[in-house]
Amino acid sequence: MGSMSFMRRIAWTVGVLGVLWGTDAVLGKSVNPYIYDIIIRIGITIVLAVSLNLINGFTGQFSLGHAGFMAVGGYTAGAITYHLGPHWVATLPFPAGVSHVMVFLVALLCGALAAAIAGLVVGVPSLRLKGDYLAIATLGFGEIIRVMIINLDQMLSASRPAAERNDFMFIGGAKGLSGIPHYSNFFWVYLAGVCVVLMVRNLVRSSHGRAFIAVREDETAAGAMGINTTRTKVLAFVIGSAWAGIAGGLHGHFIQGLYPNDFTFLQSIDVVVVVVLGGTGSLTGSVVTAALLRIVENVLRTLPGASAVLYLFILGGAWASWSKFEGRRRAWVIQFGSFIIGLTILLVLANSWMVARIAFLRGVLYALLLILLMLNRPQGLLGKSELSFAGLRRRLSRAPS
Amino acid sequence: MALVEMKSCSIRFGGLLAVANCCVKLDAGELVSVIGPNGAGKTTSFNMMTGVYKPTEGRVFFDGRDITGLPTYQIARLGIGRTFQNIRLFKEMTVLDNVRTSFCAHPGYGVPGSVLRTARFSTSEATIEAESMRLLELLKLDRFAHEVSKNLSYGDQRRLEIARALALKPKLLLLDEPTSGMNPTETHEVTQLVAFLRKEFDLTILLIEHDMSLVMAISDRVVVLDGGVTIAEGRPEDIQRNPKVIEAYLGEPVE
Repeated sequence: MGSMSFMRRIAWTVGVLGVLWGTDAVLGKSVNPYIYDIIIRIGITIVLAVSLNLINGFTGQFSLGHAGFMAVGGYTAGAITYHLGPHWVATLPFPAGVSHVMVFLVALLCGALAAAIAGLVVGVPSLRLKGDYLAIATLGFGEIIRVMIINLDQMLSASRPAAERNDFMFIGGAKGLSGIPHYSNFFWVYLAGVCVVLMVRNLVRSSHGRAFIAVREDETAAGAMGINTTRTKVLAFVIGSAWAGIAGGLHGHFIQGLYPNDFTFLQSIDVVVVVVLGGTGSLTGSVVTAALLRIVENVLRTLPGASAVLYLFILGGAWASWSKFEGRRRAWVIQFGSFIIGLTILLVLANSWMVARIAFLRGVLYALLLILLMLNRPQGLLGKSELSFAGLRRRLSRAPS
Repeated sequence: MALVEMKSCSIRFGGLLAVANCCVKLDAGELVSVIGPNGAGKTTSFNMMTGVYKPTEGRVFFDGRDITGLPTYQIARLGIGRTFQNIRLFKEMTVLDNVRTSFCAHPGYGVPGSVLRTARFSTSEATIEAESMRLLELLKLDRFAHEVSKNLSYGDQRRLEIARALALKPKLLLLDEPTSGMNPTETHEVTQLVAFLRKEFDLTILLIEHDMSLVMAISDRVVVLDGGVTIAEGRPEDIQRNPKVIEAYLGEPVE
């Protein structure tokens, strides 16, 4: 728990930056763009999931508005680099490369600030609500943001002459804001990932973090122990929203565009799924699941990939239920054998009907995964536990040699 | 001067008058018990004192201040610690963290300090941990410090609630049925514990209790509530002989 010495801190910072920089350089040259795209999306999902875990997992406030905060941050950052960026780069007295980085960082910070303010405005009234009611209120907020983004340009141009109205363009409305510079890369996305994990981890292991967890565990008791529960909840909400805003900015500057349909309610659900699957209250869980789900999602885009996942599922189920079929091995063989034969027939048929793409299976499998998890492991993959070097060492030394 | 005083407090839930015109006054250092049948309004009085409920009428004074209607957390910070009738620990947290939670109000460093792990963070956290461990040792819970609190035995959970309340450094401690669900041996231990803590921490204690052996052994005064009304108040031995109290507990004598 103690704080590191100043020199060790500098060494660690330089080390982490160096590793990120080096990996970025290697990945940029060696990996094909499709894989690189998945790696970046994993990073952005990590930032979203870890920040939502602070709200949903540690503070226990079920929010369904994360896509809304992501949109606020993304559009703020995007509008800055799109409208002001070129002008700043031209006037700043630095080499162009440095100016671009500065514009990007300023835009991201403004996005974070805007999302944090949105979090404050939404959080103060809606955090009086609990459970389902809070979920519905935040869901409504997310939709309000999206509808506002779609209509903002028309509202702003309403007072202009009719001829100008069609050309008016601020954030692009339903068409989206395209032509944002490509600033996000492995380095920035994973730097944000490292920062959010460290920040939430350090916060949770402090008195302020204990206040978050106390509110989750028992709000009445937390109040009786002198914790300002409203302030605590709003604080978690604001910090989580700010990071969602940064994720939005990274997303916009990676795909070089922002589209209202990327920030629907389904996007919020997607992040919630990562947090719940990984274990509410486990940072490692969020990180691992973010990577797993993004990979599975892409594997499912092709028929061979999807079949592989389905076979894995069945084999996993067979393996897990081996002991339950004690003394009924024939039933076990028949059950899982028929599963596999049935699936094979189904896939052969599917192959002749649809050739390759059955990405729709993704939704079905997600739902299936969640149901299975809630039934068998309601605490999520990792529950509330974390992977750490110290823990690993302890476990290794305990194991019989 | 009185440390805490409820001046003719009443509370209404819709048409139900749960507590009517309740007057309780405790001088610093006193130990007063509140007894009464179920539904008499004992816990409701506690909740008015700690800000969980705002009295419909009347005012509450603590340490010379009007605290009526203040939020719970501010009243706690002024120095009223409490335990709950149905144990309300932070179940998933460790025993040590449960106690450390009481320091959250004044951790001695800000949010940025905890993120950046400043030197002040380290020294403050070290102090918090040392003080929490001292309390746990005092209540013989130190060997469970890193155990998740929901795994403790019932009696240990009750003691942990007291430890957590004491970590607030309260002037007034409210104990809501600290021996409910305990056998006579355990009750006896709690009796000794309360007497010990009162001396050790120089506490004023208000106790809700059904177990008369405990009430009679350590109370300076006893307040009897029935149906939301104070029906008797006085020294334990007088209360035992008070016909109104006997009637409330045992019913009217048969002619």
